[in-house]
Amino acid sequence: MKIAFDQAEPLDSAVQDLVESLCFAEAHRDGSGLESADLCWSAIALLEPGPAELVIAMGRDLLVEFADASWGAAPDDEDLTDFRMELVNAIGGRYLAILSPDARIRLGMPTAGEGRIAAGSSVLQAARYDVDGELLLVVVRRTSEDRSSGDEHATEA
Amino acid sequence: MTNAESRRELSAVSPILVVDDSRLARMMVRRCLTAAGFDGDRIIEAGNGRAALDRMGREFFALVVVDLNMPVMDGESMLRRMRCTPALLDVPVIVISSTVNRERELALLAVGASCVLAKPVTAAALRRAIRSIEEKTG
Repeated sequence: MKIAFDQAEPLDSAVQDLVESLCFAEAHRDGSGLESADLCWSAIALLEPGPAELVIAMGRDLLVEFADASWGAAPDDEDLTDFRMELVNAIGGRYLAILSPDARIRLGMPTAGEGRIAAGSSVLQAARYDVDGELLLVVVRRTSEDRSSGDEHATEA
Repeated sequence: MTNAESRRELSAVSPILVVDDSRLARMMVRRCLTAAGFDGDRIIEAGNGRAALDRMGREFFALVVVDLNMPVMDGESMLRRMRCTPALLDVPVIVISSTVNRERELALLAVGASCVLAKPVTAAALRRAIRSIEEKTG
């Protein structure tokens, strides 16, 4: 079964739904393309259907704003890492459920870090969302079978 | 007796176990449970399925709320182990996961989940799930 990882609508639906329900904010797609600045990212392998990888990235201000909204208290660095891994996990799961409502779906374990999101021919879509004037970047990349364990990520330190 | 009183009584008998590798996710479930009338002091947390099974081997829990995607031992493996263990066979288990679609929900119910909820969980959804379990178990 061919999965439409390059289509905007399923990704928009998953991102907007989770940003609203988990972070109490609204995300509007504001174009496409990667970002040269260093960002706080988290990534998760989309294993079934797949293989592919979902990466979300944002500046620290937006991350703190999101985490504060979810956490209800000033988050420390450990909380920020936990939060963005939980967010990519939730978006990834919703994205797969939308793409594949009747077949088995499975994610890898999330990872997180800081750095520039790498460009490359494997990028299927790089969606830029506006959240209260801040950038939320969401990238879907194709991965090979042997890279689908979730141990690797799609960023440059 | 109101549902809140019933849940307080259940909680007074045995604690509830919340299993998730994310501290944030555990905290959100804890908030939902306290909003549903459970005593926060009787909500116990574990970071993965193996730690949860160890804990369940030492004390009885009235309810287990578990995530699927965890390191060491995932939620589905933990659930399968519980359903093969006589002492844990009837303990209600609510699965909360980001990877929920129709296929996944049916598969989890087939291996013994009492209820399957999509993340992020809300207090209302958790309350409905607990009410449904209470009605089934009398």
